[in-house]
Amino acid sequence: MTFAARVYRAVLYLFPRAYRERYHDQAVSDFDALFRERSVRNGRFGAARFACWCLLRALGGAFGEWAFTLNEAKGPPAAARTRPGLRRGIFGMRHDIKYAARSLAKRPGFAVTVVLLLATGIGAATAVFSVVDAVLLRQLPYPDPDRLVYLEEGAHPPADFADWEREVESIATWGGVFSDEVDITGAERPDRITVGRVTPDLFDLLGARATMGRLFASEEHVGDPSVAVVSHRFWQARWGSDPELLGRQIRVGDRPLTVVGIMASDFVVPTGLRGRETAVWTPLDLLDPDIQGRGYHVLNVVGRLAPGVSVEAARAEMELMNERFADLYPDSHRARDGTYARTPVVTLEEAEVGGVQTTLLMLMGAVGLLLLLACVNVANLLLARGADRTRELALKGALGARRANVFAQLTTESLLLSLAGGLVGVGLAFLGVRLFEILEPGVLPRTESVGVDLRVLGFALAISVATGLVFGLVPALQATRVDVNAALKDGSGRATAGRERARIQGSLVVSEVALSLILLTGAGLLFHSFVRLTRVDTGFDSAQLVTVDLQLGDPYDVESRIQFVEELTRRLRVIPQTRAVVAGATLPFQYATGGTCCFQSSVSTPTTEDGQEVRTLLHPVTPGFLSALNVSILSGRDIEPSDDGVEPVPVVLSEHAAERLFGEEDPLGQTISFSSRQARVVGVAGNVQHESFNRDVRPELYMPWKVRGPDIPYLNFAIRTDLDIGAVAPAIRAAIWDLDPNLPVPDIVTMEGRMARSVAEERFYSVLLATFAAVALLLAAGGIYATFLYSVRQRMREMGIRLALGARRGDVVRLVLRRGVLLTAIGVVVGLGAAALGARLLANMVFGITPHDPLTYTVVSGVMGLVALAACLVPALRAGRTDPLETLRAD
Amino acid sequence: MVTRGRLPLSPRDFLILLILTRGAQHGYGIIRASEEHAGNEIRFDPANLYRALRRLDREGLVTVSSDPSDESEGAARRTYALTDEGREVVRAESARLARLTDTARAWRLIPDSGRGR
Repeated sequence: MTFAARVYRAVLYLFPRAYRERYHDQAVSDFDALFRERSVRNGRFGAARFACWCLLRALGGAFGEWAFTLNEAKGPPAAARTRPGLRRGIFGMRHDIKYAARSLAKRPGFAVTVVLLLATGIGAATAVFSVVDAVLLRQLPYPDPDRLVYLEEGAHPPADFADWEREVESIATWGGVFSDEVDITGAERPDRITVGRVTPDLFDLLGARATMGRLFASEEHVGDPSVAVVSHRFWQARWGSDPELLGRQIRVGDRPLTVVGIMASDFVVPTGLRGRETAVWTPLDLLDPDIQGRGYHVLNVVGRLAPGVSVEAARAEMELMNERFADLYPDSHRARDGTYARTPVVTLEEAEVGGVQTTLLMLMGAVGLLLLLACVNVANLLLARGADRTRELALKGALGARRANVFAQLTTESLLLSLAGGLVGVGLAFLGVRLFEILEPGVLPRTESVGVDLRVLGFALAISVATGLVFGLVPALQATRVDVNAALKDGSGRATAGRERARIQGSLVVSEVALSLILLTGAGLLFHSFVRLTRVDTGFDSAQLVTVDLQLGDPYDVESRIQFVEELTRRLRVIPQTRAVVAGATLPFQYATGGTCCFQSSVSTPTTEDGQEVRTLLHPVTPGFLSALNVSILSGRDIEPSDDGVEPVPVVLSEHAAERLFGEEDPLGQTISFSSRQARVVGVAGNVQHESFNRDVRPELYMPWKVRGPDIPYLNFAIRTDLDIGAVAPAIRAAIWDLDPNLPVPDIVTMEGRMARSVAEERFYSVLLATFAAVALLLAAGGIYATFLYSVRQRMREMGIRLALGARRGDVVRLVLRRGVLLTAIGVVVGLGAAALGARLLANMVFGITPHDPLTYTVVSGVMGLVALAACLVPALRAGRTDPLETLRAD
Repeated sequence: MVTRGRLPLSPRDFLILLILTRGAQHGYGIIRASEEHAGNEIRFDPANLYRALRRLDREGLVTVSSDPSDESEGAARRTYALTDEGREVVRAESARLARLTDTARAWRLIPDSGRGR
């Protein structure tokens, strides 16, 4: 059965049993056949449209069928009637709508409250759905996207790629991108950009088009022609969309390139191919001698499956290839322990969005709970209102209105409210999406296409209708069970249905507490985890620290780099209010979001056995580095200027490294070796969290920068200053450009800014869930308050009598509160249970705590309990203030 | 007359009865036939079609029978056929519509079908 038919079958469960027993199976099988036939005739979208129409009609039919059933319960229709049941056609419906609108207009406060409540829930759900739709549900924007695959485990050697292209049969077309950070110079200010060198078929594979000019010709992928295609975003940002750029030369990586085309703005490169940042593309020659090394892993690869071939087949074929290459090229493709490099094949879609699927579904679940909470609230309000209309409904009944019609009437009201709520909700969703665009820290893929479009509007409509039916059903059924006689006789409108109503309201309060608690628990867990994360002792002082990362590529060499560092340090020290200036090959938190940090080497002492070397991070640093960063020196000293050129190399070990290498022994003065160098330990420093908050501490070693530092182009300065970054950044830039006007200075950030960026994703989800939880708490508090207020009002007479008979005011208050405590307690227990079950979904997102962290659960329950009690306190106090004379008189 | 009080028929009912004049049909067959003859103007969805057929059955215009020779998914498919009453009603309705369209034609609202005045 098709998926659409399954959905249809589920919707048909809304019909009453009598109908289903006769027609359910047949209707579903008819729908399935019709849907298939439509797919063939009209394609996917025609079939989808047909399915949606049938589903909506089924919803309407369910409502009509229930009305019919209720009417049947009153007895068989008169045989001579032309239209038994609810056959009023469109005229009847119009009447219902008019009547509903009028009746709602009589109580505008009520209608507005309900609409706002629903708008909150529907708006939030729609906003989250628009994200889920853009990221997960929509197809990738490439031709035939289901046939595209991605080769995982990082980048691959171009030589391997060439072989695969020739030999692998299950993948028909291959494309690859070699991304690199390069400087762009010229008339505008220098910048560092990502340049993507592409293989001949890549643009075709992804359906790329140029909006101006052209893309590369196949001849341009041979040799080294100086042509480039500029990305649309970069064209806008750097040249203000100047059409004169076409045909001009730009200076990239110190080479002049002619711009032959501007990429279309809607071209979205997969994140696996560094698409987001790529500013310029150039053609790649697969036969370029510089890139032929089998260990040169630089190419990110996508491909299109051959017709009729499955992903599994491609995967299997590539595994065989991997094995073959491991045998052919053991030096580059085999690890020391015998395992070999693998290149698993996954669908491009899986590579793009697979990682965020759980998180997004969790978000959708959370917002669904919020919507449910809004519905429960509204149902509660409707129940209360139903009670007020008892007389009106009883009158209608006495005058001959059939229950079915009244039921239809009330349901129409609910639908009207929910559709209005949906309309306002869509407006809120627009706002929500804008906020999302601003606040999203860039962790989600495919967010360019997030927006409220037709599909999302369709979703909003569907859930509006669904919520209308959900919250409207119970109150409508309840209201139409009115006993006409009792209601008319009992002047103040209190029917025995009141007790049942109270019971339903009680269970609604319990649900509100439970639902809120679930959301609060989730938010609490994420918040607690976030606090734990950022409280991790980093081992250094991050306040007032400004960082600059530079790349001294060609034409710099070892000598000129050393000179540059010395000169720049001198100039930066002169900036007022500067306390310390140091530099290193890398700084803490530089690679928090991925990539490999630092030099690494196996370090050994004279007594270390083979195979027992300690894998250590090596940090070439300028003198005073540790003091500048305020890393505690546990014994010995920091790196000093006099250490330059000394052999054996003076090094400072981290505490962890010292422990691993020397155990209990004092490491000071001892000799160690790494990378075929001899070194002497002159100090032991405290451990530093070098990569990010949540990675384990690694053994580290600090050495004078001139050892290994000038060999690589990467260089980072750290400046401790009393000025704030806005004031000091221009001075830093000026100092750098004074030395070298062509050096790009892309990033001057505070260390704290870097650290905050490293947890941007966790913060984003924390804040999001906290917002949902706060809204839920508000809704629950409001709902409880309204329910108790209403119930107190209904029982005014009873309260008055009690007081008149000698009860103390405190007793009355306690009476009300007792019910509140009971309902809250039940709600908390149910909520905790549900939260504990669902918390497992958050297992991957929490740090330092388990998903069943007792502290969080306790605090959250406490908060919920307090809020709930506060919400029913006010009505309770009001009950205590009842004037018995007033109430008895008013009867 | 048996048809008094039943006319006018709703367009949906009329179409169903009209299709059934050509012979008994299953629900699916009725939907397909309606697509052929009424295109996009009148459409049936399965759930509501069966409600309409049930109503027509109660009104005595249509009979339902299970066709044991055509088993699908374990349950015998239901076939719907016109009763004599139903046949009379659909004829009467067709005649009524024809009279109206004649007037419309006479008043030049719809073109002549070419059969001469």
